[in-house]
Amino acid sequence: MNLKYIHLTNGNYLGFISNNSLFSRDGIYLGWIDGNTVWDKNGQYRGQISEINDVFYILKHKFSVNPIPRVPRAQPVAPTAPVPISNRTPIIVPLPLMDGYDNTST
Amino acid sequence: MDLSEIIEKIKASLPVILVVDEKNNIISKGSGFIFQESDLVVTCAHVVSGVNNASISLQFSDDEENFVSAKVVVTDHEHDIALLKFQPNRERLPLKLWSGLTSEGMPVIFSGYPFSLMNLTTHQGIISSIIKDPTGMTRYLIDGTVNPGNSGGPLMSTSGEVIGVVNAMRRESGDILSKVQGMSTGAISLHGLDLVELYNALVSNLQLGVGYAVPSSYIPKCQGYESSEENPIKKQAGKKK
Repeated sequence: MNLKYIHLTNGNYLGFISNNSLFSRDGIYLGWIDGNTVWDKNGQYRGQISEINDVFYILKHKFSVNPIPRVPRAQPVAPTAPVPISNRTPIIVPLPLMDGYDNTST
Repeated sequence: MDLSEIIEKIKASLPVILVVDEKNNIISKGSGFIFQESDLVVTCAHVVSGVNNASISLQFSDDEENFVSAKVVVTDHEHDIALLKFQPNRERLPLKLWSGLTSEGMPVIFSGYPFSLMNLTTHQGIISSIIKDPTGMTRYLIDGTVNPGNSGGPLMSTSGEVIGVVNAMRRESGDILSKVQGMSTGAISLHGLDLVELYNALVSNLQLGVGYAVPSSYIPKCQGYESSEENPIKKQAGKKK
């Protein structure tokens, strides 16, 4: 299973991407990935997958207009969640970027 | 600017769109316009989405006695556009496509059925910005009073030619307020007053004077409509000969 691990900019481990779906650290479905774009389970735009210092984040432009929401997709079967990986050092993303998951809401 | 002649000309081509469930409850309301073909209405996908067990009715402002049923023939969620087919009970001409250059600052008008109004209302404004969202899609930012119910209505030049499809209004809520919006009814109350409901009512009535429209180039081409440059009204006239 090819997994990609995602962190929040506050350093916390958010979850993982498996088969173009995003899951929380506990394996709860959060959304899907289309190309490099992340849509949450309600079809709202959350940002782009971005790599900074070998760590993946979901970042979006703080001031840009959000795209038109997509039709929510059927929830995939959740894979077994991998052992949560460690948190990272918080980063400060340069303006105008911000964390697409805003450190809390999923 | 006197728009009375333009409104008179386009009025018969702009229906209100009602999505009604089996118990005749209106579950969605929006605006639309006849485009490309005389039996084809353009509206927003979000107006008619999830209508599996519901029916779609159109009502034209010059025929308030009758509702005409319609069905979705094309849905493009990515651009928030849907095409509806209906059986016209009288001749209705498609709106013309704007063939000029669309630019920031150009004056525009848009017509539709905001809120619970069943009367066609027309507003004026300007294209305040032409933007690209993070997926690369172009959208028009309108300086004008777009309200719920305007979705699906045409954004037009001041000569009544279609530039785009009105699809959203701008709302701003800070981080704290957006958390309230996500709460369930009754989660916060004060002296018996449901503050979540109060907040949602306030937000839905906010008018910031900024709306969005999708450019007409994203409207899917329907069978028989050969070119986006073609003048639909001329084409119809040609058919009659």
